[in-house]
Amino acid sequence: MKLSIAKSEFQRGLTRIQSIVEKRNTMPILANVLLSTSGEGKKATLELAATDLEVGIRGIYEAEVHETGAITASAKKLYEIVRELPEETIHIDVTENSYLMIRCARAEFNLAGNSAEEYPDLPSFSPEKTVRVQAIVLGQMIERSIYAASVDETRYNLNGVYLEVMKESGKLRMVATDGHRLGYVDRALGLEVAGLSSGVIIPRKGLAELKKLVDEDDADEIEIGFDESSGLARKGDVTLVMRLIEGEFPNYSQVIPKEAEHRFVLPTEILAQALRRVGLFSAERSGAVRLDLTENKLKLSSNNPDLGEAREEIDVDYAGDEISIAFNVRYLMDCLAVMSAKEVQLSFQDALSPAQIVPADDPDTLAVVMPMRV
Amino acid sequence: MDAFYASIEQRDRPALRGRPVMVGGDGHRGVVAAASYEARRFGVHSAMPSVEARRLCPDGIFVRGDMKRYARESRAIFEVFRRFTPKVQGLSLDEAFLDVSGTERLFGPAAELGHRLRAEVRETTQLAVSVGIAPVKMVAKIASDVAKPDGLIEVLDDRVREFLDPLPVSRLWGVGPVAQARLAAAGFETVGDVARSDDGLIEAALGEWGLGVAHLARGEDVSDVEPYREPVSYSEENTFSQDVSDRRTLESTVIAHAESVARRLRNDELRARTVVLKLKLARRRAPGPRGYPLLTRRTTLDTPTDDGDVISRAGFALLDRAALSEPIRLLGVGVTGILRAPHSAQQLSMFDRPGGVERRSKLNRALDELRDRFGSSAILRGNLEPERAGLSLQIKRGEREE
Repeated sequence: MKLSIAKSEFQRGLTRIQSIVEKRNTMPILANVLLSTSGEGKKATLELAATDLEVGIRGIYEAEVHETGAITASAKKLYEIVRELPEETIHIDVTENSYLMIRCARAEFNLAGNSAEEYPDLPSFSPEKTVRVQAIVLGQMIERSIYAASVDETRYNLNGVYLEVMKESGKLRMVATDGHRLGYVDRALGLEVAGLSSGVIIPRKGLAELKKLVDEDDADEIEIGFDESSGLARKGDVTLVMRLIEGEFPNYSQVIPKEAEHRFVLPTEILAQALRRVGLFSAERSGAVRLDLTENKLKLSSNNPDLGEAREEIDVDYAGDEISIAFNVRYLMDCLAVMSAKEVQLSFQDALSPAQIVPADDPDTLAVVMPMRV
Repeated sequence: MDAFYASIEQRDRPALRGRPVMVGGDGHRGVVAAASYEARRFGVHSAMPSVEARRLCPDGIFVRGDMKRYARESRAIFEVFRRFTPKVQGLSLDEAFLDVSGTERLFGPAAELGHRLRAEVRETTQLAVSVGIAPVKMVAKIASDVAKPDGLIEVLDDRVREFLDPLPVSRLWGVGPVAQARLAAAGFETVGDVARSDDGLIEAALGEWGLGVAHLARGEDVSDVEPYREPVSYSEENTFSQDVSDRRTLESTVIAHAESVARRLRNDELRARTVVLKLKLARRRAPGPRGYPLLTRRTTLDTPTDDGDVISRAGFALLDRAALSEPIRLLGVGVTGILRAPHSAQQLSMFDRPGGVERRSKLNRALDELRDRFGSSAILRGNLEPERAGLSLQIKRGEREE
């Protein structure tokens, strides 16, 4: 294999795969990136691919190929080398014993690689049908649900975001929960999602990769497709394929409160800042903050056996009965952070029932947080 | 305590008295946990591979240790210690610091208290204990080592330097083989060499950390006797007598460790949030005992737990994540992220069956009572217990992270 590629083009490709490669795996080859050429001459391409066996990404980049071939080498080391090289053309020449000779300007590296045959197959998936969705909408949906997904590996069916088409509205919903809180968002993406007859659970890692793709500057539309076990996302020359989580997502609709006796509306920023301050004294990781609602007043308080107490009062339009409720302060702050709304409404039935938080201007975004018993 | 485990065995089995006794596994992977003074004459010491001990002392008697008995003995000894002061800082089952300042009116001068403590420990347990008395902790510890076997040494305030100066630098806390070699290269052999030196030279040899060593060398240990430190992690591990790659054996080992760790959590009324799986691969990549690649995988639970079943399931998930492709030599399960239970505030859940968690903890309480009464193997999960070469339980104490 022998080729020349612009530094910026190569670096862009290597950046994309960095978070996919496994750093601490018992299969060392998974720390590698797979390079393979397609075509020959000035208008040829170099493909960069990586996988952790659950998520795979491949991107195609312009290159001048002098001699076709394939090779695999440490993704991190290659990225570190390329990042430090000057903005010039990089020349790569693979030697017979699987070394990559990398030359750029007057710098030269001989990087040990492995034969491409040693690299495992990437998850493959060619959906029957795909649809194009607006990247910005998809990004927002991911952001407003993924924060609530569980990181507890014993509850693998909660380690992702559930994607389903809502029968009544025809909208697409992303919802995630860790059993303590839940976040969902509905958006009309114009089209039903190809291949999605029932809901699927998209793993956190795959979705985080998709979010990165969506956040890239030139992202305008993303092509997505699913079947029961795999998902695909494509942006231009980059394709992301992931295995979906097999398992049943809990019947979450039962925990979404139907009624709420107590409710108030506050500017998001005022509530968030007060929570950040009072949260400084919340004990350990359990992080309880107590909310006392009285006429036109919300009192936030926390206490910590080692530190002391913190209190803050906020004026609020509230005329209901006096009530107290407590939450993990982090759960409240997490959902406020992604709602990007001027005002939010918080409502609940009683101190031991789930509370609901919605942006005042967007009834299609919702967070549910279970209270703490204090 | 002097040769603690071995002394207990000799006390309880008269046939062992006066003979070289080694406590520990005698298999090809066993390690000596304690050696009687008779065995030490042959050069046997604790932490030595049993194979080597056997070579040095072919007539020595190997005794498989009984940690539970030793722990019981330890509790009795610590109770004696607490008759003299509440400020008792345990270092291990058989070592403790006692801060006896302010007890003079009750027990007289420290040396008198020391003699009395030795007598009371002997009376209670028929075991020998050595005592070191000094103004600072490190010097007291060294003095007790020098006093062994069955002795007492007091190092008075104005004699500290005199006592420390001739000792090799390796007696200082924190000075291991590497630091010792660096100090030797810089011309420091004895504690006195370090104590008399300029701080700059020590810093040059050991880095900034060397300043602490210089303080210790001058007998300026400012650390207090810390009566109790909160546990920060619990773990249990075993080396298999034969390398294991069978998933079911690995899983039943995970269960055995998880259940035991969970029981210790419940016993101390604690819960843990993070589960750690430790695996040592059987294929050695470098010479020496550290040559086996060690994998650790950890996962954080949504809800802190003291339930062995939850810890086991986390262990299985970590086993999946490790994606093993070769046999295992050692497996350990540990927990960190320790919280006192029950919390002041309890997070409510959305999907748990009503009463599910409470029922589980009732079951665990019932099982604990059975085991307390009839022994830890009175009731087991329906899994085979794998054969283990050596088992070790650990608790790390210290400041908990927030």
